[in-house]
Amino acid sequence: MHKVGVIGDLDSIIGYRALGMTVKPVTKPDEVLDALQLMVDEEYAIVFLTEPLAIDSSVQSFIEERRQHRIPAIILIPSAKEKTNIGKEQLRGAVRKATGIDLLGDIR
Amino acid sequence: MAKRRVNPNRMELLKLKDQLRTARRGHKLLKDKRDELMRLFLDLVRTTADLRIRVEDLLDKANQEMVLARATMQAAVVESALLTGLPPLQLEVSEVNTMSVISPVFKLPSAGNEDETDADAVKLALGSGDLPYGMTSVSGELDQAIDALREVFPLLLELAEKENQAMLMAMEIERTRRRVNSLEYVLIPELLELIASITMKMEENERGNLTRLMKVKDMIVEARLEQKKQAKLQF
Repeated sequence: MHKVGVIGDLDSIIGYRALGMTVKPVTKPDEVLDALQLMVDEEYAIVFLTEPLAIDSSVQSFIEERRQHRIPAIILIPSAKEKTNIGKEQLRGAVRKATGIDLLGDIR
Repeated sequence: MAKRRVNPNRMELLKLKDQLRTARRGHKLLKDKRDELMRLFLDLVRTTADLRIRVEDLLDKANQEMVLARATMQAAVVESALLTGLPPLQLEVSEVNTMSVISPVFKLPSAGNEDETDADAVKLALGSGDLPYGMTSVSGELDQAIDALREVFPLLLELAEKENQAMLMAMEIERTRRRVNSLEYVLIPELLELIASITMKMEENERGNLTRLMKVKDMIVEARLEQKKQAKLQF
């Protein structure tokens, strides 16, 4: 059995506590990395991360590196504050990497 | 192209031809794998992209509800309401293997009933409809916010699974494509070139040998003629 974690700013993620997820409020990139590492070590199944926190390059490279491993699946979710489209961009990037063409252009 | 030095003999030629056969077969297999992966990947990515858009919309709504809830109550009340109760959410993780891409599948633990549906599992995991806090201190907005989140949750789970799989597949496709290309544009041409050069050298040797034999034969015939002439002169 594996747990599910949420990392992000408190406002966006507090509600997930009512679903029984482990909620880890953070603000700085360092804290994000620490929280991620902790959840990796404890073998979480899924870690949800709010999008604005994934802008930081060190966080991004951490996520990229973790892709080699089975779990946790690090998934980006929108935050309550700012609207970024990193989650979609990531998917688009994967398509570009795999096919060489930007096939998702039609899906916004 | 970096040239490999090989001895031009039959042994090498046989070895190289064998290598070429293997390389060609590998190339074909990898190409098939790449095509099939690509097909699966494109299907997956389409559904994932749609799912993501849906989830993001729903989460935005849930977030708005939450903002509203926090506005109607003191922050401390919200936090303490959400702090209590609930056992941590646990997931069962298994693996699925699609075209040698091994990706995790997340499942909510079930109670063991056979006719249990997914919705039941969600309810069970998320604490069957009851909210994990008292009614008195908390406003109705929070209930709505939590309900909204609960509604998204199954989709969120599905998104996590699919997106993760899509990412893993993308990596595998890239890897496979590199291998296909390196076989197609490096190894196979190199082998062909080596085989051609060996065949040519062997033919050249063959011709050299033939001329040498002819020359030797000429010399022998000449020597014989000379002998005969000498013999006639002696009589």
